[in-house]
Amino acid sequence: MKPLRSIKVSPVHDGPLKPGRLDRREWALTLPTIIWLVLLFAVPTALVFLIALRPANPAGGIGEGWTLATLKDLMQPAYPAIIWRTVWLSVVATAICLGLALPVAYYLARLSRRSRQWVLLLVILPFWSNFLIRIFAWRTVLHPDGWLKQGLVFLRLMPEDATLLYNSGAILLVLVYTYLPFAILPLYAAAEKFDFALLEAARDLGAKRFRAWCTVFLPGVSRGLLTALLVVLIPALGSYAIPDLVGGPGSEMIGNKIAQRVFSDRNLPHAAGLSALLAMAVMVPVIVMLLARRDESKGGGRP
Amino acid sequence: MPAFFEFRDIGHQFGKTPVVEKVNLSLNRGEVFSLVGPSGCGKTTLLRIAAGFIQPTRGAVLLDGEDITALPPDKRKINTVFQNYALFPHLSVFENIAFGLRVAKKSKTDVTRAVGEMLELIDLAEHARKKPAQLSGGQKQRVAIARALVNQPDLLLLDEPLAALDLKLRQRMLLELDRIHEEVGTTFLYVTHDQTEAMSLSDRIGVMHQGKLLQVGTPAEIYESPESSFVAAFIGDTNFVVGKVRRIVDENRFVLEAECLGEIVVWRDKPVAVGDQVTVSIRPEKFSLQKTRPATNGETSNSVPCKIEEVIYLGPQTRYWVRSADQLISVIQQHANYLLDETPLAWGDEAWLTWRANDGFMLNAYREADEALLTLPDD
Ligand SMILES: Nc1ncnc2c1ncn2[C@@H]1O[C@H](COP(=O)(O)OP(=O)(O)OP(=O)(O)O)[C@@H](O)[C@H]1O
Ligand SMILES: [Mg+2]
Repeated sequence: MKPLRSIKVSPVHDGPLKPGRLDRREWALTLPTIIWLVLLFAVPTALVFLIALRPANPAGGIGEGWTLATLKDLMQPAYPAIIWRTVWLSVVATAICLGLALPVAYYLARLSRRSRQWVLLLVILPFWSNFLIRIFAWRTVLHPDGWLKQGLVFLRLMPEDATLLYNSGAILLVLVYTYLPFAILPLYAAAEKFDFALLEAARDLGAKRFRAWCTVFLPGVSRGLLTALLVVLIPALGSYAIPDLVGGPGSEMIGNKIAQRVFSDRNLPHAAGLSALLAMAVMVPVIVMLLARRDESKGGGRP
Repeated sequence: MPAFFEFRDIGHQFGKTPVVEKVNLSLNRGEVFSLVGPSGCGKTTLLRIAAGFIQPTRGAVLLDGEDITALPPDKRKINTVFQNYALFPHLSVFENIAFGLRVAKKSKTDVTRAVGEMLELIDLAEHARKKPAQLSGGQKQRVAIARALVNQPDLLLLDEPLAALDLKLRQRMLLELDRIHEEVGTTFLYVTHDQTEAMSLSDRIGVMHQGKLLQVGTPAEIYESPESSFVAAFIGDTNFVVGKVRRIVDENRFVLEAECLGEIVVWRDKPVAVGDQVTVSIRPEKFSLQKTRPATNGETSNSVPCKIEEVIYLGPQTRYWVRSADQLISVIQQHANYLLDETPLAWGDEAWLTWRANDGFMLNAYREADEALLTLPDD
């Protein structure tokens, strides 16, 4: 469930969109994007929704006709717990990512141009090695025989029989590790455009440092904040590799269940049903947020 | 009476370069004081020291007798109108103005009343709900002023508040600022590099150059008796006449052997001795230009022959460049009856330049580099 990450979340237009027809040039410029979105996003999504309405074929394929049986089948007693875990792990991971990325983006934007380049390089350095390799590295670090666990036990900070790996904590840690750069980059892009004189203006008007930061800097980077939120939350909700590799039997996420339905049970409609559920869970908040943002840029401020 | 606001021996350097040196300045309660100086002379730095954004390397800042040097900006009863407005883009005009009150945890009714008053003051009541992006430059500027005044600061700092506006709007806003000052009575410390702005608005002016405060005085004092060639050339336009003191006439006058103009009488407002090297500043409008030799008294006024090199008709007046001996002199003449004059002075004409002894002022300090500030005819 990775392709969702490529949704374009920040609208190209800065001001309120003018209602009216696109002229020819705009059409020419937007057409490739539209074709790309239709072919690679709308069609596959529609297919997923359609397959969820087909019966399963015992051979592992898709049966003939239409049925609601798969959807009814989704009401399994095991699912609510998994969905709940998926949601809270993703939300908490997103919150931690944003909480860490905000001060990082702020200080990055305040750095001199030259040192900024070096720190930015450090931020994107992890991308130079493969995502899976990095997760495997975490497995080594967190492994019961790994130096981290041994060290903590040696320092008596943790009992001998506790584990760092194969639980929700490990998933959370690796989720944050993986998605932190994705949160930092859009926030940094927003912070770089932020006019830091506004912070001085707030201080001048009597606001303490932290208050000025919250009332002026946060709204100033709100677009970047929203982008970062979606860019972390959406793939986190659809995580599969991370819980598979560092999670345990008691810490599955929806992604694992979908994979299990496809690879072990060979029940494509059921997997499609779960995917549709996940897609809706992701799209509904995105659409709500985009609508909210459009309203906001349309109307004037309230006094 | 102790000064209301005071810079006491302020010095500041960024790294190793000194930007502000030995600035001593006292402001009176309720006055409009302007700091003028060319770009990079340290005006903004001084203002930021007053606001609390910069800790000066040395010296103290006093407000109402209290040393506030170590106080952070939010603890000072000083507010700033920033050069580029720095309005909060996500807040409406109303909320921008209310910001300081909300931070001070004022009650809702207080906020509504105080902001309402400010909106009246800046005449923008019907724009209260707009966002800054929906305002014109002049309107933004007024909001920035209201936002800074709403907390009733002891001192209002304005950093080139009109720099981003066009000429007409700037003149309107100057009148507006004058009116606002009259209504609120707050002490204004106004920074600009535009001397006409400073002259028209201020009770007193301080001229800065290369981090130093060169001269402080009323606009008339600064204009009529500049102490240094920089002040003379930066505030208004002038001519420098360099020479040696030849003889002392009486307690009020002496005769200068000018390098180019020959012997001229000069007003003696400072002690001089025979043989001293002296520079005199004479403003262009002090001269009078005539076609025939005037009957002047060589004791109290001067008259030298000259040749017109350039004539620029400016409407209310005409600017001439005339050459006498080797010196190029800038002259401005009001003309009540330009068209009635059938043979106005033209390029190449011979004429007589006349001025009184007390039209020129001796400078305490002269640097040749300041000649570069004078207006020259374009070639
Ligand atoms: N943060 C800083 N670090 C290093 N040098 C600085 C800094 N701020 C200002 N300067 C230098 O200090 C000098 C004075 O700057 P300042 O901004 O006070 O000038 P100014 O008189 O306000 O000029 P302007 O009219 O252009 O605004 C300039 O030479 C400037 O380059
Ligand atoms: Mg400045």
